[in-house]
Formats: sequence, C-alpha cells, structure tokens
Amino acid sequence: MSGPVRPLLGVLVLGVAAWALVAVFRPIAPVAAAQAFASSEQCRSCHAQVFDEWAQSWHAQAWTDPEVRALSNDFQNTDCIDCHASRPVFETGVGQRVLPRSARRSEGIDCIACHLLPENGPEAKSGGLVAGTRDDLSAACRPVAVRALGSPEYCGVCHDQHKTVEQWRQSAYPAEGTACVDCHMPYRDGDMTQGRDHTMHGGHDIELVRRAVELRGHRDGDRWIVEVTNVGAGHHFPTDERSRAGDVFWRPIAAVSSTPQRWRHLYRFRSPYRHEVDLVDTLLPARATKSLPVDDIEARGPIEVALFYKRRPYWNDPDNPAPEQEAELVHRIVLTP
Amino acid sequence: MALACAVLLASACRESAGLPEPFETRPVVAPRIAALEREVASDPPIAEPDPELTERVRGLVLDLPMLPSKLRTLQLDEIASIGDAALPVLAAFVVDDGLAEDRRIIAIECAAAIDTPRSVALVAEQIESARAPRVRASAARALVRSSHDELVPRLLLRLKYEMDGETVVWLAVALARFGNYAGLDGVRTLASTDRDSEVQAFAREKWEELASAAGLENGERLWKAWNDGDAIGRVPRSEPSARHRLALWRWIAKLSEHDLRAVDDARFVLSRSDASVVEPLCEALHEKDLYIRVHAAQCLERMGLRARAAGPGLVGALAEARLAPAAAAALGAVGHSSSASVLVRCLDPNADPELRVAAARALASVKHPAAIDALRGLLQSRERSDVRQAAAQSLVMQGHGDDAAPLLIKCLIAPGADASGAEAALEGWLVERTQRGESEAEGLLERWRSFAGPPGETPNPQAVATRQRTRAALLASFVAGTER
Repeated sequence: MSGPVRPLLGVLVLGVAAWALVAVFRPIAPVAAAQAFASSEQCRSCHAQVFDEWAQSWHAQAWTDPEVRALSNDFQNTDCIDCHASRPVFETGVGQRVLPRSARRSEGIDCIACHLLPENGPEAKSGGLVAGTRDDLSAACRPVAVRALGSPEYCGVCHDQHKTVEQWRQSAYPAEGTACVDCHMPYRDGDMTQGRDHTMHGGHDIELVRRAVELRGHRDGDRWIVEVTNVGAGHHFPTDERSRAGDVFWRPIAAVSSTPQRWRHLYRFRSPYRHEVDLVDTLLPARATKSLPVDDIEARGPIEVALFYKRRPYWNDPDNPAPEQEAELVHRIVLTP
Repeated sequence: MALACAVLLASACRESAGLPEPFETRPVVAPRIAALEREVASDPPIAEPDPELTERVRGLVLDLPMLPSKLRTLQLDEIASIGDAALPVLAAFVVDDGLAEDRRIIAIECAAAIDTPRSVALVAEQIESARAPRVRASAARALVRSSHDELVPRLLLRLKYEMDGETVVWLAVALARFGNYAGLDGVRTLASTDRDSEVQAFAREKWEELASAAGLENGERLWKAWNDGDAIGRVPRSEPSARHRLALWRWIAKLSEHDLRAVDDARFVLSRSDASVVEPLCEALHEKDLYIRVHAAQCLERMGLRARAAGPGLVGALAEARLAPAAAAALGAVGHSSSASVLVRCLDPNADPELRVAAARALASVKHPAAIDALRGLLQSRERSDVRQAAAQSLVMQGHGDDAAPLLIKCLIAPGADASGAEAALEGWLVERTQRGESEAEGLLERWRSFAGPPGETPNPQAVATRQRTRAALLASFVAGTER
C-alpha cells in the first residue's frame, strides 16, 4: 500500500471504531424533545391569578387530598392514578380517556394536564404549545384557541367515568346552553373579559351543594311529606364519586328544656359500589324531586328535618349514625302542624 | 476488511448491549380474536324443549333433594346426559328470584353437572348476579368440578366484587382446579380474621386442602409459590383451551374501552391470570391502540414475578416513547435478570422525564448493586425534584433509607413535593431501623405514629399539613443528632 492510502485507511478504521463505540454505549432511552413545560409552576409568573385560584382547587389536590388517599389506600389502588395524575388531555384527545403519568404526580390535575398540546398535533404545526381561548403566538407559552377546552366532552375525559357528563346530557341543560364551565368555572365577576375562575368549585364547596338542592315539607293528612329537589345541579345529586351521599334525617322536636332526640335516617341519595348488590342507585336527577313520607308515629307532631352531605359512604356506627359529627349540614327545616 | 469487521463488531455489540430494535405497532388483538373465534366451535342453538322433556327435567330436579346420596348421583348423571336441551328448564328455576333458595340451588347443581360451555355459563351468571349469598356460594361450589377453563376470567372478576366469605373460598377452590391460585389472597385473609368463626374455619380448611392437593406442605408455601412466579415449579399448571385463550384476548380488548370500570376489571382479571397470559400480553405491547399497549404493560407490572418471562418484551417496549414509562414500571416488578442494567440506562439525563421517574420508581424492586448506586446518584440536587424523590423512596424500599431520609424529610414540607409519598417512605424507614433493633428508632416510630390521628377518621388538608410539618421537625432533629 503506497502514499496516502495507508494513513487514510487508518483514519477510516478509527472512525468506524469510534462509531461502533458510540453505538454500544449510546443511552437506551428514547431521547425526547426538550419539554417546553416541566412544571405548572412555570405558568405562575405570567398567570398568577389563575395559578393561585387553581392552587386552592381540588384539581390541584387530586393527588394529595386526604380523602382520595384514604379511599385509594394511598394510591395502592393504582387504577385511581389514571384520573388523579393524568397525562395531558390533548395527548389522548378530547372525549378520549386519559392515561396516567409518572412524573409530577403531586401537582395533580394541573395546567399542563389541561392545556398542554401534543408536540405532533395540528396546533403544534402552527407553532402553538398550549390550548387557550385565543391565539397569541407572541406569548411565552404560545397559546392557540381551542374551542374544545371548555366543552363537557373535555371535562368528561375524567368526570364522565362516573357518568356526571352523561347525567348532564340527560337533563334539560344542554338544550338551554348551560354546560359544566358555566357553573364550575364562571367568568370572574360575571365578566367575560375577566376570564374564567379556576377555583373550580364542586362537591367540596358546601355553599355550592346548598344551592344545588332544596329541602321542603308539607302535611298530608296526619303525616309529613319531605321533599328534596335538585334545583341547581346540572347533573344528578350527588354526582361523580360513589363515595358521596346525601342523607335525609328527621327527629321529633324536643321540648325546650330537654336534650334533642337522636336523628332518624329517612333516605339516602347515592350510587352504590358495584359490590353493594343489595343497594340501588338513588341519585336525584337534575330538576327532579323526591318525595319522602315520614311514616313514624313519633312524626305526627312537629319535626326537624335535615339534609346532610357525606363524602365517605359509611357511618362509624351504622345503627346509630351521627350526621352532625360525620357529615356536613346542607339544609335544615322545622315542620310544625 | 477492517471496515467490514468494524461494522460486524458494532452490530454484535449493539445486540449484546440489549439495545432495542425499532418498535413496531400493528393490529394484534382483533386478528387474534378473529382467529380464535374461528377455532372455537360455536354452540348450536338450543331448541325449545317439548312438554315431555320439560316435565322430565322438572321431575328430576324436584325429586333430587329427597334422594339418598347414591341415587342423587345417578339422578345428576341422568340430567347431565340430557345435556344442553335441559338448560331452558333449568334456567327457569335458576333465574327465578321468587323461588325458594333450595330449589334454585338444586337447579344450579344440575346445570353444573351437565358441564357444557352453556351450562357452566348459566351457573357462572348466578355467581355474578344472585342477590342471596347462599345461592352465589352454591354456584361457585358447583363449578369446582367443571372442566371448562374459559370460566377462569369470570371467576377471577368475581373475586373483585364478592363480599360473602364462603363464596370467596369456593371461588378460590374452583379457580385452583385450573391451576389458578389468585383466590388464595382472599382465603388467606379470611383464614386469619375472626369476624365470622364459621367462615374462618372453612377458609382454614380449604387453605390447607388446596396446598395438599397441589403437593405442597402448607397453604403459605402454595401462596408464596404462586406469587413468586413459582420458581420451584411446584404449582400445578394446565394449558389453556382455545375458549380460555379467546376469553383472555377479549379481556385484553377491553383495555381499550372508554369506561374505566371496564378497564379496571380487565386489569384485575388479566393480572391475576396464570403465566399463560404473559405471552398474549407481550404481543399486546405491539398493539396499534395505545391504550392496549400501556395497559398491557400495567397488567404485566401487576403480575409481578409471575410475569418474569415478559422481560425481553418489556425491554423492547422501552423503544416506544409513550409506552416506555409503563414498560419501565413493569420491568422493575417482573424481576427479569436484565432489569437492573436496562432501568439504569433509562435514568439517562437526556431521557424523557416520565421515563426517568418511572425507572427510578421501578428500581425499588430490583435487587442489584447497580440499582442502589444509580439511585444514590439521583439524589444530587441538580436533578428534577420528582426524580430525586422517586429515587429516595426507592432507596428506602431497598433497605437503604439512611441515604434517602434527609431528602425525604425536606419533601414533607417542600412546596410541590409529594409529602404523602415521603411520609409513607419515612415510616417505612423507621420500621426498617426498628427491625434492626435500634431502640431509639422504636421510640421515634411510636412518636411518629402518635401524630396519625384517630383511626377511621380522615383529616382535612390543613391537619395533614400540620402533621407533616411536625413529623419533619421530629425527624430532622433525629437525623441531625445521628449525624453528629
């Protein structure tokens, strides 16, 4: 071999060897494109008001909520992770079920889960990074308007797992043009230009629950008829998790100087767990009324009736429920002949 | 020549390094189901029984309770010989909620004796839907002698929802007939609790009987052998029938459903199936439908050591970005020999954060020095906080909590950290130290637990935060004291 051929061949062999070494020791993991957003904290600097509202919400606490942790056995029931720490909704698509994520679980259902657009989606082709209500590619997060963002189908990716959106569809509200965000993410101060409140009040807000149902009673012969009407919820009462219940109790009115009598359970509004084969679904549809006669000899005179809201389904002592200790009072009325 | 050698060397090194081939997805589930449906003979329609046959079957059923045992057996054989033609009459007894339980139970026993796919399906429906626990228990008991393994997924699903102890035990016995010991969890729990002494005694009896029938010393050995993936090859196995395989593939198809309840049921059934489900699940990792791919990996994870054979399939699945985190989680659980090295490579700083966190968590179950070293390396402050916390929690599970405790204590109060996860890990660390015989740790654990609040009561978020701050202060001074 003469002249420059030998050294050139040597360089070539060295180059191939180097390539072989790189091929062997190159990391196995697929190299992802750098994520635009690693944490919802990054949104705070520009969206402080929204962030602060969200931080108080139960979406933010989806992973840390003590009740969820108790019901899921600290997420030992990994089935719960799909909705409580989900991958971005737009990754799987509006109306499609979400998938669980591994990272940032403590951030619950956060800005990224709701707003981040997929890298290979149609919006990304036009430069959009997040879903918003208007296009603004000059903003740091490059929002593009996505109409589906406020739709019931969007909320339904998680909340229709317990049929809440289906319940809404069965009501008169769709025809009236009232959807989830109208009650749960209203415009701040009722002003469209102020944007939507991200506190997302729901069943944890007892005031909202109070506005959702009415409690009344009337006389029918010598007995009382108690009525509960779902006046304000866009879906059944209660809704979403099967752990929630609305319990109606009554008790005779005690004389002024004596101890109040014990509460007696009249009715429960709840959707049972699947293994509770001896129970039936008693959820109260939107705008429906349930009439409950109080057929007890002790109820002939004046009685007190109360509706309680319970987030865990079982009483500590089922034979002697203590609603004032174990549940939240929604409404209380006194019925006097 | 040198060039050719270098290329060959590179390829060989790539293969031996276990680097994944490009990952292909394709329709898998639908073709499998279609093929098995062709293979499984469809049952001919059952003609409406004529009055004579109806009377004959009714008579046999009604006479049964009055017969002595030998004649009873003959009577059941006679009903069995009638075959599916008897089913319309039996079904009328079985589904009649208003009928006396004893009559329904007799009819269920007769249906089970026929032992055809349709007859056992009728019996299985009673386990699923009968309101009376006694009817459900009798139906489960009646299937103990069935030869139709396609029932296994249905019986497994029932384990998820059944609340009656006797039924749970009979389900376990029926499942064991087919080499599936997933029911042992329920039997084990019932055998050790004393809520109902009759059920407890029954559970204990069957616990030992099942072990003896399997040729093992006791129930605990059988339970361990089943859950450990039967490394000793002692658990009886059977090859699934075409109907059983079809049933499994149909459950895999349910992983794609929108209703999470259906998906949860499928995950429950598949993860409790025996090792014969591993191959279909590994095939399903290549399914075009993303939901099936991800949930198939989850099922393998939940099978744990029983899915050890899935290792190579899961390593390959790491090449698919959206599947990789679930595959990493599964790799940690199945205990494959290559898990350690592969998962450590998934921690690469350039990898997808989802994958890195999943791999850090998965390393909790991988008993290998490389896993410990890699996890320790992740505790550095320049790492993402969720990666560091996942690594710290895994170190505790690996018995190296001393390295992780300082970080986890900070996680109890750091904004954005998973304080509840840190809490659980730190309690595990205190338990580990107590078990080492450290009396100071024992006292600390007692104080730690005293902040838990009354049992059965769920604290509100503010109370939880207060508890976590108090525990952080408690442990911080302990750790500071031990470092001095």
